[in-house]
Amino acid sequence: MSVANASTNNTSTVIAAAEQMRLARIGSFFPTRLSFMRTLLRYLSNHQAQVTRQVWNINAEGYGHAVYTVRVDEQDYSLVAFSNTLADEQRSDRVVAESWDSTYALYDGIPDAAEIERLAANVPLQEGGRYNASELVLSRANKSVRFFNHTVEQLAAGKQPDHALMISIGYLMRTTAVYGNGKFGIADRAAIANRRIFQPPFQAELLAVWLIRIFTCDLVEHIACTRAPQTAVTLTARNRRFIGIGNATGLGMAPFLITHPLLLHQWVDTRNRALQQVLQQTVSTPEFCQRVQQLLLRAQLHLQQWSVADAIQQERIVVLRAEWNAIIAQVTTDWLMRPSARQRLYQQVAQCSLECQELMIALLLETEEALNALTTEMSSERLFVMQPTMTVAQLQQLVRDNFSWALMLDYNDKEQSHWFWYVSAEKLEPRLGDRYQIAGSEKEQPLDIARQVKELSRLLSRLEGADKQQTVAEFLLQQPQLRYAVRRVQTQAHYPYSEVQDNLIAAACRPIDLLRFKLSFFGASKFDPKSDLWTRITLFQGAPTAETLQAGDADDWWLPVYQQAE
Amino acid sequence: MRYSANEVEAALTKAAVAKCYPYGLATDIAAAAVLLSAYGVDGVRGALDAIVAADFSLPDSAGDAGGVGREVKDTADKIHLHDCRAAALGTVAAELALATTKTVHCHCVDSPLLLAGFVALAAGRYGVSYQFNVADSCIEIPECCSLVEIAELSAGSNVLLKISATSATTPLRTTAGGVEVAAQDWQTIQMLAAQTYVAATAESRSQGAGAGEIDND
Repeated sequence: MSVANASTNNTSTVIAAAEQMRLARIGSFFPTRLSFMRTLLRYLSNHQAQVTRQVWNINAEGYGHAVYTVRVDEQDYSLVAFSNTLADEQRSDRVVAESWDSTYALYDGIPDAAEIERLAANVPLQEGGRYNASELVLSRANKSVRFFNHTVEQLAAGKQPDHALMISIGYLMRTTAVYGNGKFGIADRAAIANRRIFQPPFQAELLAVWLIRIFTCDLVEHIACTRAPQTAVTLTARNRRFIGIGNATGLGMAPFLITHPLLLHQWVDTRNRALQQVLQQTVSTPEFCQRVQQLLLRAQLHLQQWSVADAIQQERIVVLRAEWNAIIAQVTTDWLMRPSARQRLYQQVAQCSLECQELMIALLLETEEALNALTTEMSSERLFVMQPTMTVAQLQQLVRDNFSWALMLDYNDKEQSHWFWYVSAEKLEPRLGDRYQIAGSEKEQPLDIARQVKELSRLLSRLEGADKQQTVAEFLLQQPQLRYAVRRVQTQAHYPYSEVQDNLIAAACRPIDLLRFKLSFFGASKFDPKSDLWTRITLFQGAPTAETLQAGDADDWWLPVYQQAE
Repeated sequence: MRYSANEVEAALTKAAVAKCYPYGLATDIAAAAVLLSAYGVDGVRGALDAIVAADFSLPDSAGDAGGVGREVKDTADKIHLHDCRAAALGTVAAELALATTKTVHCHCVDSPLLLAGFVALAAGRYGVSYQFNVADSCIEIPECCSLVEIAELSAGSNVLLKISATSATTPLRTTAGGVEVAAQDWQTIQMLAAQTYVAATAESRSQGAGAGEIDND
């Protein structure tokens, strides 16, 4: 009998997996209109979501708790926010931190006083607390001390925050963890996945972050107002919209990508199919030309406002700025009005940096509103299913066809097996260690897919004659340790974008590429790498506020730029 | 106490890895345990008992029983798995029944319940139904009541597995409401899971992860 994984029928071909899934390329991704933050806010806007501040029990110094409720689809979701005192020496973005400036839970419904009391006893403890299925998300955030204090002082003095700080920081607080899907007892994704708002990935988590952004703006205004009631002003609508939420992201994101191969495929394949749809259009309208030029200039200004301390990333930004300026100089209205402008824009960057190629892809996607419909295809509830009926000869062919990039490496070479991924006993922080320097590599996490597949290939090559016709089930009876590798190979055959095609334990591996890849799908911008292991980013910068959700430009915030008031 | 399905699955996977189960098997053990819980039987206890009983070890090259039992293809229509430790052989037993036209004979099964969990998992994944023949009974999987019946079988039972239909009639249940786990079992799982963590050192704290230790900018 035939048992097969359900494969995607219309897998994209515009960028082959062997090129697409390299770390260097996915580490150059930009947010697009398919990104999850955009998806969430379009949903909230299209479904007339209403946000109300139910509770504001915050003292003059800004400590206490507040509750914000979003009503959408006749259901309520509440952010329960706790603002706490925190000594400077305790302020850390790391998982190992024990206390935070603020802590949050996204609650399913509207909590009553008893529920708020229960949450108050647990949420500030974060991983140390215990939660119910009524909590959908758990999170915490620390102040950007410089910008938070500056903004309070400016508002108290009747002024707006300095525009240079707005550009260089752009957030009042940054989240250091956003937990969903059953962590510490909160609701499993399965419990909410059938609600339309939460069907695309990470929507509950991002809803919490969007509400946190509202809370941080309210908090600085409140402190400024109580500090100087005679002179204080509130943030202008323009500044409120520009201020985002910072985020410090470390290694925890990387294992997720490796353990969710079907989701990975779905994200990349959908993005590529969107690009394919754009490139199939050959006719330019005046509106299209105007939109492209507007987006080219917006991206140019965004790049001017994106500067980082990391030498590698800053050099990439400098190159990108130059490449982008050259494109703008060439792409006139006449150029755009000629046939196949989209294809020519795409070809225009073929010899440019990967950052430039990816920025152009994101721009092309931005020109086509109809692509929004594809966001329903970004999730995957499918399972990672073995095909036990396959013969080992067929399996061996799949390894040869699809994993040549893994087979060509020598894992006895220390350069190719330098790192091991592990979970530290210290608050279960995900870490990366030098296998030849640090003890514990026997407990490494299975992110060494390339090496595992090579071992599978080695054992398959020892089989001869009739043994080659045995089924995978029979083979795994004898070689159960290869089960995971077999599953990866079989999955990749049906879902070509399911595998990052680089050796994740090589000395040359930069985990930051994995982080940027995932964060771009969230919709993050202004990647600010602090090392190869972690990055700061900004979420929801330029996104609509609760007041502007129904505005005409509610979905027009790709690559936010800060422009001073005239 | 109630735990989310994701918590239980993640913790049980680690516990199985701690007992030397390969990662690809450990994830299936955890998934089978959570699935059984959705049917109202204590799949977590079943899986935990099975993995705690002995560490996993690979079959030796001579094809001896080793750690995971022995396969004997003694006739054209049967595959025998002797000393069938469910945690080690359950998932592949269900797959063998699917991949061949033979009946899979699982001898002296240490945990019929966990074996049934793997079979139910396979039934859901592949859209089939299984006949789970034990003693004088022929039980259809997946069926809610049949899993309860299997939970009462004692260790050492002999089970015959074969595919009875190629499209399952009953969609599998989910554990959207979480999983009840006895306090003692959870403690054991956590203790085992902790064996998969690397002890923290000052060096790993400073070099192994992101962000500075103090972030006041």
